[in-house]
Amino acid sequence: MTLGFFVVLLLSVIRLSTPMFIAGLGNMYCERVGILNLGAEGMMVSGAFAAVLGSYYTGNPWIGVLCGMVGGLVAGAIHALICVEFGGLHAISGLGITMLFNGVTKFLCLSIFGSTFTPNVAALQTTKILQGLPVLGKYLGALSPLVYLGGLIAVISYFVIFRTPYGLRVQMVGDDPRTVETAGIDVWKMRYSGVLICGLLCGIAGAYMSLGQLDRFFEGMIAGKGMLAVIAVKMGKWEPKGILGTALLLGFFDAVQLQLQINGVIGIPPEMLQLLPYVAGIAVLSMQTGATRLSALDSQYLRNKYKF
Amino acid sequence: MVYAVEMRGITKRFPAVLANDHIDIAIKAGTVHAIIGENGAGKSTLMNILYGLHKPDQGEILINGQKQVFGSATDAIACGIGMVHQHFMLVPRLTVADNVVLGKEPRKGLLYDRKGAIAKVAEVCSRHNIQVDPGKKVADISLGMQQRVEIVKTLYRGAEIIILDEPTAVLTPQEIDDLGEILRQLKEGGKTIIIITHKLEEVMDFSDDISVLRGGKHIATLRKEATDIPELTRLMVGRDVQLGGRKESAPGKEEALRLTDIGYVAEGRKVLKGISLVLHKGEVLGLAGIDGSGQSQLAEIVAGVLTPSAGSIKFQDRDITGKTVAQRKKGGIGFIAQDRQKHGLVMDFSIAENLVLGFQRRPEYCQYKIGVNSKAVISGAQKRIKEYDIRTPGESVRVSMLSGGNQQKVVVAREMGSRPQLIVADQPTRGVDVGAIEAIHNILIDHRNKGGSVLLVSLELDELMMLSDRIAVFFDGRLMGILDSASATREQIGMMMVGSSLPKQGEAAKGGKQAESRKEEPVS
Ligand SMILES: Nc1ncnc2c1ncn2[C@@H]1O[C@H](COP(=O)(O)OP(=O)(O)OP(=O)(O)O)[C@@H](O)[C@H]1O
Ligand SMILES: [Mg+2]
Repeated sequence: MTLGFFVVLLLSVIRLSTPMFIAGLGNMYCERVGILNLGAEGMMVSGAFAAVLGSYYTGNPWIGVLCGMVGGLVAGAIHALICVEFGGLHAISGLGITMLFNGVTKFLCLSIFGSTFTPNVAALQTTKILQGLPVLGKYLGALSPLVYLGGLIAVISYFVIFRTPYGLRVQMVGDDPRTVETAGIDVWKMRYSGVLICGLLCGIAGAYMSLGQLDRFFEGMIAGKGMLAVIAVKMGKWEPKGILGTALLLGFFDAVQLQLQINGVIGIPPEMLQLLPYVAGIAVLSMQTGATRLSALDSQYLRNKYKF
Repeated sequence: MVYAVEMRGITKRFPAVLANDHIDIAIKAGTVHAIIGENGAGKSTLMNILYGLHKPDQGEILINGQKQVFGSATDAIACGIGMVHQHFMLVPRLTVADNVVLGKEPRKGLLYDRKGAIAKVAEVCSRHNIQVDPGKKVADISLGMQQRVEIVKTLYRGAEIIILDEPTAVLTPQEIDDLGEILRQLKEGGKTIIIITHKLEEVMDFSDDISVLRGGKHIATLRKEATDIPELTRLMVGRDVQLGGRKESAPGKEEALRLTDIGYVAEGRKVLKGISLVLHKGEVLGLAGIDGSGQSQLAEIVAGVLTPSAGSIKFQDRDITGKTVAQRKKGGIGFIAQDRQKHGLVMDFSIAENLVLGFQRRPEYCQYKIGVNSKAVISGAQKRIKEYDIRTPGESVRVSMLSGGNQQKVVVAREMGSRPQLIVADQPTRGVDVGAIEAIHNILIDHRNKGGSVLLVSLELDELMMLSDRIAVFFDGRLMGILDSASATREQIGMMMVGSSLPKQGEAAKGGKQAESRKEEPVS
């Protein structure tokens, strides 16, 4: 075991945890305004596919990322309409969105490219400008610029949630929408904003998976990362720091699993090893005591219906 | 003269309920105006309309002579209206300052200026002479302070017209006095105050004018000097009210409940220390004490909600210490919990469902051993609704839609309906109108007269003295003594509530004054 091995492992952990924490940060906004989002997976699929389409048609991967954001936003808007406006069941809507976008992207992929995976497109797998740096440049430049974008989003999210008036309102809506309404704030606008931000960020997470890690889209490529993001939010107690930490932990198990597979160290079937991050997630989640909870999470809040 | 608030022909219909029926009401600037009425009379609805949370079906609102249409609370706040709701609108996890500034946060550039918020809140407090601690978490402060935070919230937004919906229901007598002082100061500062309450002594204490609502209609508006409590009661309920019930016989000698050396520890603190007492058949035993002295916990131990850490409970000569709530219910113990919304009711269930809760296994509700006979549930509910005068359009209405007092009646109806031997009642008349208080008193005393036993916890000394045969006084988890309510004085009880053991008659008066500074006249 050399230093080199650890660096490779570290880079791998960062690469693998990035989609979870970007989507996790999105889900944090969503859950903090009181909307459960099991549709993160679907929003990511939508983002991943839209990003590839954008890059394919324009040849510019950054336009691809923008398209990915729009893709996530569309999925988010559907979730918002169902949960915020019509008071639908969040879990059903979320799972529905995941299934819907798995289907829609596969359908579009087949009809545009005639196969369940797309050709290679211009991607963002490395950060060129960092490669010039001495010593660390080799490593830092090997990561996608979207990883750094993700880090930036985490920092900004921390400030948004804990340091801005908007963040204060977001914190309260998830606990007690009635209180917020009596303070003269539009609860529904708040709820929409949270879900839409979530769609946007999940779109970026999806774009990272198709353009930052790979250079194409194929069916089933999100592979449960959206669900892990949902877990990461709860384990991270709805705080950017916690979410980042949990995502790194889950990413670590994913990386270990990959390494073990590549090296073929032990005679365990790869499917078993792939379970590792999920098992770790469930284990951590079950060890957690229900200390903090958002009391209005997964609840309906309709206009003009309540007794104050 | 220009009124601060004028509401004309306000009508509001909810599905199946006409909550407000052409209400005309005018409130003079710079006065304290009380609005009273039975549970479900439409007081909260009217005030929520004034605060922009509900839109009236008909009618118009004038603020300082100007016609206004409120689309949401934001509009009302902009017009200088503030409201303190019947249930607190605070997020416990956050600080007082965060809660106060919500919706009008001080900023520093793009960021929320937390220090500025604390400073501003402190400034508002000192300007109006209100004691709150802006930096503390709401979860860590007392109910009295939470109430003050709610008032500060309205002042921070620059409210000139302040609505208080039952602000005193959860306060201790001392806190009520403090609130009265704050209201007087606000009035002197030129604010207009609208207050809703069920406690008529407070109405006479705080207000200048009084409006009475009944069944969604405006019945009368009177000047305080021109009226008295009996008249107000008559206007509210439509008849005279006799509180306290009528005891027909002396309490029995037969033992119903015996507690031996009960101890209870919560979070390392001894909440109850070696309590022993006996309750007879045909007797009401009152448990007195300032809030948090352990009397509520004792009630919950008897009901089986809490498990004592020491001691034993004997009910009708059987040891029931280890028995569950369900077994105790079956054995004949009914329990009216203190917090009806948390422990007494399932808010999203219908009235009918709530009325059988805990009794669904009884033969009359069972069908083929496993199912619930919904016909029996519904007809049973209809009977109870009539018997206990629960004001509702029907038995299928969700309990959360009922007014507070009517929710309480659902709990009482359920617990009494199973014909228990012993009824444990923890503040059964909290937030309930006089008419309903009378009804609940009569139910309890009737139960006693028929040979049943009642264990009654109440923070209102008058209620305890009216209903109880004997009063057990608690202080800091200890039983200070048991008095005969016929011969006990308020001063005696008050003194024991703050920790002195059975005083001799002579010294009682002096210490008693400190303990019980609020003077109350029993409503009759
Ligand atoms: N959102 C709502 N939907 C349906 N019915 C409602 C709603 N809000 C209130 N009601 C009904 O309107 C009537 C008036 O209720 P309101 O809360 O105004 O009474 P209140 O006078 O404040 O009573 P309390 O003293 O018990 O608080 C009640 O019958 C209540 O059940
Ligand atoms: Mg009310």
